Amino acid sequence: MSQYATERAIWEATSGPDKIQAYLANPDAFLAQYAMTDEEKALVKAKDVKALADKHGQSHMLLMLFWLVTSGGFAALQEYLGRMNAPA
Amino acid sequence: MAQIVGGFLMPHDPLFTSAPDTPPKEQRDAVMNAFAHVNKRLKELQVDTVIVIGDDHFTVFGPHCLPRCLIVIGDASGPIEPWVGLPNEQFRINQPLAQHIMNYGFDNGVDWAVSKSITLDHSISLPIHLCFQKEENISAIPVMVNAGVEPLISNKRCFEIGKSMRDAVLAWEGNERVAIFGTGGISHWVGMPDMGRVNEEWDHMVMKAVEEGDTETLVNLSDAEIIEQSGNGGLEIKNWMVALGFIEGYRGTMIEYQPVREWVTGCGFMEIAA
Repeated sequence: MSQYATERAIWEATSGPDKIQAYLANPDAFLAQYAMTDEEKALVKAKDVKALADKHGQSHMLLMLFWLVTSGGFAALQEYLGRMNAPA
Repeated sequence: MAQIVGGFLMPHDPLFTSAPDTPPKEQRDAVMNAFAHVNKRLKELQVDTVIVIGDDHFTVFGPHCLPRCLIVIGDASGPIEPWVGLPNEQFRINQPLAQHIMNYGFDNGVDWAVSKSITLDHSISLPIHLCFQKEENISAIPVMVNAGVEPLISNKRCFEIGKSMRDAVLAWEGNERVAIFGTGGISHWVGMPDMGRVNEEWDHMVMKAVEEGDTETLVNLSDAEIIEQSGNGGLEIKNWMVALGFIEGYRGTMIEYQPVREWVTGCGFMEIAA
């Protein structure tokens, strides 16, 4: 299932400084390693956490971790919650 | 023979140490005093081994491997997350008793995943650091159940695992004085739209059930109801249920409860005893 491939891609992008840097340096190359749909890749690159949670079944906890490590840490938490609470 | 001398339920919120000054002073003092109280009780009870029940937060384990229940029989350190604000230290592990609990489980229906060497996340590491890392005569046995990432462990299975560990300890020939920690919860919404909300009514319902030894109420809570009423973080009462299964005929006594919005968690501390 590509849902699980997407979950693995998001998880691996958060799993340690080297992986985080690899993702941030070239998201397309990083995501190309996983059997994801083009829509899933686009949502991850756009950090559309609401759609990934609501429409693609991704874990809120994992999405928050992904957001924080790719957006500058806890200072970015309110922006994350703003996106998660945005109207669909 | 080894003895079971007590149990404690407590939160493991990483914001306690990563953002220690954000709540009002009265609340943060109450929480830290509760951890100090547990330390005092461990010493009063002359505990030498604490089985610490926690759950991984998509940190050590990921989609490639999600253990339903895991016991550490070798080396452990933590926390693995630098941002938690605690030093990543080696923990003292009671390896002989951990290996006995593992083997007892294998022979009695618990197919443990096993770690021989691991760096743990905050869920187990933080309670160890705040309650007994400085007490050189107290060792840990870390146990993880999957209360955080789907597919989730069932409430019933958590009680059964606790009971299996109880039977294992009581069958152990050593002279250990063993306590158990059930960590996590109560209400908190991790990364969910409601993050920051605390459901005090729910939290008190859970603690009342523990006070009354009401296993039926707790085991019959559905995962969907727990998430609706207390968030995905509220599922960590499954960690509590392992501890409750370990203390046969348990009753709970409140140590402290603080609904700390700055720490996004209903923070409940209880002592459990037969």
